[in-house]
Amino acid sequence: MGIPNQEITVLDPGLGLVEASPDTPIVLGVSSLGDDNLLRTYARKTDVVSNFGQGPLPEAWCKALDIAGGPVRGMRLTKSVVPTFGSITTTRTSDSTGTIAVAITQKDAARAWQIDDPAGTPVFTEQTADFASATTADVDPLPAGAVTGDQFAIGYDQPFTSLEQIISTSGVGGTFAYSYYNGTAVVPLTGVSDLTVSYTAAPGTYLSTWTMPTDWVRQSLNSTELLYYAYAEVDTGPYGTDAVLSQGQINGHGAHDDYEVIVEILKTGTVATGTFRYSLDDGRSYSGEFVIPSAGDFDIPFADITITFTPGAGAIFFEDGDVFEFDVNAPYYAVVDLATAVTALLAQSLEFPFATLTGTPASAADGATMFAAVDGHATSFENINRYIAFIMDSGDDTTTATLSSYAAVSSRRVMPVYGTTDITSAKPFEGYSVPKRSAVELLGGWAADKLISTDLARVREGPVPGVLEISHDENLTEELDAGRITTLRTHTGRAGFFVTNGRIKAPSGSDFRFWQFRRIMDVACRRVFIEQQNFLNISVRTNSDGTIDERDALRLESIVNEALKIELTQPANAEGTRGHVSEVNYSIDRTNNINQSSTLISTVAIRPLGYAKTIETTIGFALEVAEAA
Amino acid sequence: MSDKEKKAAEAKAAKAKAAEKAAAKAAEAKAKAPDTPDGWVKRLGKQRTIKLLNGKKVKRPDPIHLAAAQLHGWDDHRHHAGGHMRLTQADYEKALKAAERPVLCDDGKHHYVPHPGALSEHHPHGKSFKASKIGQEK
Repeated sequence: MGIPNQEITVLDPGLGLVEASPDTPIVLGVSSLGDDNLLRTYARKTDVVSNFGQGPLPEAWCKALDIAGGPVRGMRLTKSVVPTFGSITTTRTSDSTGTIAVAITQKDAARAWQIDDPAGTPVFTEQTADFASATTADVDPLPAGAVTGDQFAIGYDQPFTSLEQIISTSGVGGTFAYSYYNGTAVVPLTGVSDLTVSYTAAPGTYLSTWTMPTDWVRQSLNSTELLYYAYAEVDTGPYGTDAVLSQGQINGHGAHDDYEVIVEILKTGTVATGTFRYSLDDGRSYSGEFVIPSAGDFDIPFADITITFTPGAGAIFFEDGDVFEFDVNAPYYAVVDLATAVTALLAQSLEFPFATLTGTPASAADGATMFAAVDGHATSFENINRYIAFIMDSGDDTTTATLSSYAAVSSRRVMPVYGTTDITSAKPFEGYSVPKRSAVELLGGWAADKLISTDLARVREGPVPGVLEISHDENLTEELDAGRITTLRTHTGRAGFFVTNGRIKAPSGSDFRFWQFRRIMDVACRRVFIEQQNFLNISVRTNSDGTIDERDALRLESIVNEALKIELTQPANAEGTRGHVSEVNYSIDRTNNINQSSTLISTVAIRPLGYAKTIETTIGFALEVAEAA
Repeated sequence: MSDKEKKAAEAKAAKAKAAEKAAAKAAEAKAKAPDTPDGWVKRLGKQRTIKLLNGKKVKRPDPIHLAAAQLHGWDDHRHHAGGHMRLTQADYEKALKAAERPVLCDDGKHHYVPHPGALSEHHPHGKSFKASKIGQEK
């Protein structure tokens, strides 16, 4: 012990506050925590992570908060596309024999209840700790001599479809069926495969699986937290011999994101003697050093991936310098999951300017399929006067395949983004600091940070933040920009990476070539819609031919023009001059017989700003040189 | 009722029954007959009503149909073959299912795999879908 002293540690970030965002976009994607299809708004990254955990959604959400400030809205989508693992590549220092296997980490149930007489006066006996522990023969899932209606309830904070249980004493004489709560009643699960055979199978480890219900609702049992419960409910009894379990665990809740995993042996040895470290970002950052567990299994925290070390025959088991590498492909949502989320968003009255669809389609063809659906959804929003653009990943593929797959699709509201970035994580953890991320996450935050008239490619905005490397540099191989796919690029003589163009994949000849045109038009549409709502069912004076009286026409025009000016011509743009557009004018038709048609016809004309996409200069020596202004 | 009248009534009833049967058969045949994707959209009600900015209301296919159209190259077909693709109701419905969710394929990734009976030969990846291992459901 040293001499008396003080040590003061300043916690930063403590509040986790971010700057206010000029716009409030929405991020859609999958995550390890949270409820599907519910819109949430957060201004602090800590709230995002504590409520949504890991995955493409919280990563992009936090990135948007980092770049643009808050608040940012988000919605978790159903992840019906499960994560996958790539093959393991092994590089050995010499002739070691150790191998690794990889799997999604199994999870302990949040609650496990033996329920006696649930229909009458239920008696709850908690089995949670015993169900989680590996101690043998300590779980009594059902009451002694269980009869029809008695239950074993297993609860978790996410819906689950796979349960692994270890039987130590086989039950005899009864059967049960798995069921769940749908918000109204406890109903049977479908597609059930129960290898425990109602706990009558011989002692051993068995899986029980079922089809994920779409209407599973959380419940509170015995005044505890709300959880998703699966019930093993006795339908034939009594059990003559009571089943006893050793342990039960929930499968399928891990590998939450895209990871490029490296496991590197640091000290030669076998289990309990050798050491290793791991990286989830292809070696750009590493964990601390760990001893290879004696049981062989090591759970990577946050990622929820379990690595199993198997020493092999030796004589060298794991050797200093041995490297095991594999990729993890994040879970993802399907076209049908997005449709469900959009239905939920359509029911919300909240407005948002654009949505970032996180996650990467497995190929450009898959991306184009998703793109077609997204365009359809954009139209659904427009139908109810909600003007929304979408940013999505074009898919993990070559530039040639991307151009080919997207050749036949177009949308005036969807910006497909190509490529990945090695980028500082907005929510790093051990071994995961500079992951490879879809450029769509960066673009979502970048777009949220910009004024509506600012070109996403404006060089004076500076390089996109936090990017160390890009997978595709459009400056080196000009391929995708002409195909209206958004890319990143370098600029000669400047450090960092820039947006090539904020490309909407609009049809040929469309005005919506660039992101800013979409944004400006959407702001104009929204403003005109709001102002004109006040005109619905008003009365106007008319001339003898039924056309609107000039005095009323001018009065109404003035109202809308004033509002449009406040939004479009008065605010400062990125150059510091006034106006997101050069000119805007709202006018009312003077020729329409409003007495007869009961229709007010109006027109809005917008002259956008010009954007210097190309600069042509002639330079040379001359005798006559005018003095520079 | 005389025997003659009875016989006439029976003959009339039999005729009506035969006509009814023929109509049902024709309706069934019509339902089974190939149609264009847009035709199936209308017949099966896979549409939403869209109000355009000019106030006009039009009916548009729902997003799952649009995804299926892209996945199976129906627009490519119209462009290159000069006419709409024709497919049965069963093939159309399987095409919609194919566009709803990707499936795990031999390359270890999840891909949207077109339903062969609804895939246009003019789809840019139509041939590779059929030839390559990628796209074959695991």
